[in-house]
Amino acid sequence: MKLDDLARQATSDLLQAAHAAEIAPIDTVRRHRQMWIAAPAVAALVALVAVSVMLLPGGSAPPVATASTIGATTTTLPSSTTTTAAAGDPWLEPGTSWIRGGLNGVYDDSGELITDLEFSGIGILGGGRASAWDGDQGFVVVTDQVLWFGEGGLVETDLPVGPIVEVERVAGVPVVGIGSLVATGPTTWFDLTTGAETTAPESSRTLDGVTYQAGGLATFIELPDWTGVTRGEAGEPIPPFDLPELVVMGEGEELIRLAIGSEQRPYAQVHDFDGRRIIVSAEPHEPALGPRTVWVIDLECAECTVRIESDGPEWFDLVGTLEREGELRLPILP
Amino acid sequence: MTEIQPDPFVFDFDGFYQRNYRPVVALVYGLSGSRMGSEDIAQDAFLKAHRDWNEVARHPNPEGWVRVVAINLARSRMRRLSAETRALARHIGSRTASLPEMSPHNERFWAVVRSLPIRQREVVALHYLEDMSVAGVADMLGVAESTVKNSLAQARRTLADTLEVTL
Repeated sequence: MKLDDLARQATSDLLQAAHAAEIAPIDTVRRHRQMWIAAPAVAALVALVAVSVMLLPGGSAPPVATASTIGATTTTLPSSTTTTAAAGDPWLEPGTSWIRGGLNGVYDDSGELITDLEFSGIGILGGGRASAWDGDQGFVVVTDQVLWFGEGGLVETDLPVGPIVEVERVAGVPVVGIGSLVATGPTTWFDLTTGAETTAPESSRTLDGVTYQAGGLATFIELPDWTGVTRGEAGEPIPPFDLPELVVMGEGEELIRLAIGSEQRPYAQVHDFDGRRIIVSAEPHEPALGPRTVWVIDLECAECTVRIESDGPEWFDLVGTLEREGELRLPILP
Repeated sequence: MTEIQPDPFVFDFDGFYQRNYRPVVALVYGLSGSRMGSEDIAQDAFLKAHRDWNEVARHPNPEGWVRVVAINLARSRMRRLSAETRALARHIGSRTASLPEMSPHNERFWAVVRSLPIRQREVVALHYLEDMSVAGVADMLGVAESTVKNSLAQARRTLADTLEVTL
C-alpha cells in the first residue's frame, strides 16, 4: 500500500469521527464550559462552609492559615448565566517571595493555603500563567473561563481571560496585563476598578508568547532542535538529546545561557520574571501529571537558587518585584 | 489543493462556527488523539473567536486564525490532556466522548503522526486533513515554505518507514 492511500483512509475515518461532534449553540457551549469549570469551585465553597461551621463556638476545627469568611460576590458574567460563587479571602504574609497554585488551591512559599479556589487546568488557558499579586493586597487569579480580582476577597469579573502577565498599581489604581492565547499576541491592560482597557504602565512587565520582559531584560526558554531524535511509543524523546536552555538577554546581547532539566525532565518553561528573579521548571514527558522540578533564581546571587519539588502541573508566580542592585551572575542550580 | 478562505458573503459568527467546528475538532483530534479533549479545545478556540469576533471577523483569514488558536491550545495541552482529564474526572464524575473510535488500522496512522516532532505532525495534519498546499501551511504556521517542504518530506519518510508502506 502507498502512504497517500493509507493517509486518505485514515483522514476519511478521522473526519467521519469528527462529524459526530455536536455543534451546540455557542451560548450553550459557554455555559457548559463554565459549569464544567465551576464544579470544583462549588466543592471549594462547600469546604469553606464546612470550615466556617467548624469554627463556630463548640466547633473543633484545627488552626487554619486562611481566612474563612465567605463574602458576598458580585457576578458579572458576559452571558445570561447567573452564578454565585465565593472564593474566600486570600491573605499573604509580609515577606512572601512566591506563590504556587494547582488543582487544590493557591499556596504561599511556606506551604500555607491562601485560597482554595480550584483550577481544573483544562480550559481556555491551557497552561498559561494564572495569577499575579501586586505585592500589596491586589490579587488576580484566572480559573479557565473567569478572571477573579480581589483586595482581600475575590470577586468574579467579566474581563477577558488569558495568561496573566502582571498586576500593577498606577497612581494607586490596580491594572492587569492579560496576554494572548496566540503565541505572538500582544498584552492588553485593563483597569481593574472599571474594567476599561487602559494603556500599559511604563514599568510594566510583558509576556510575548514565551518571552518575559522586565527591568530592561528579557528571558525565555530556547528549545533544542530535536529533529532526528528517536521517539518512544508515547512520543517521548529517547536520549541522547540536547536540553532546553534558559536565556537572559539585555540590550540585544545574550547575558546568561543555562541548560535546564535532565533526560528524565526534558521540557522547560519560565513561569515568572521580575527583572531579577526567574521561576523556571523542568518537566517530564510522561507521566503528564508527574513530578517536576522548579527553581526560583536570583540573577544577582548564584548560590541563592531555591529548588522546589512539585507533585504536578502547578503554576508559580513571584510576589512583588525585587529591584536590581548589582551585576548579574550565572545561577547555580541545586 | 484548496486553500481555506473566508466566505465574503456569509460571514456571521454562526455560519463561521457551523462551517468550521467539525473540521477543527478533526484537526485537534488528529493532533491530540483525545476524543473528549479535542472537543474541549475546539470549543475553547471558538469561544475565544466569539468573544473577540469583531476583531477576528476583520482578520484576513479567520478560518486560519481559529485553527492556529486550536493548534496552540492542543500543543500546550497535548502532553497533559489525558492525565488532567482523569484528574478532573475525579472531581466531578465522568464524561463520555461523543466522537466514535476510529478503526485500529486508521488510529495507528494518526498515532504514528503524533509521535512525530511537533512541527512535522502539525504540517502533516494540515496537509492531509485540511488538504492545504505547502504555501498555505507555511502561511498559517508563520514559517518558510522550505521549512514546510522539509518537514513534510521528513514526516512522510518516517511515516512510510514506520507504517511499512511505500511513498
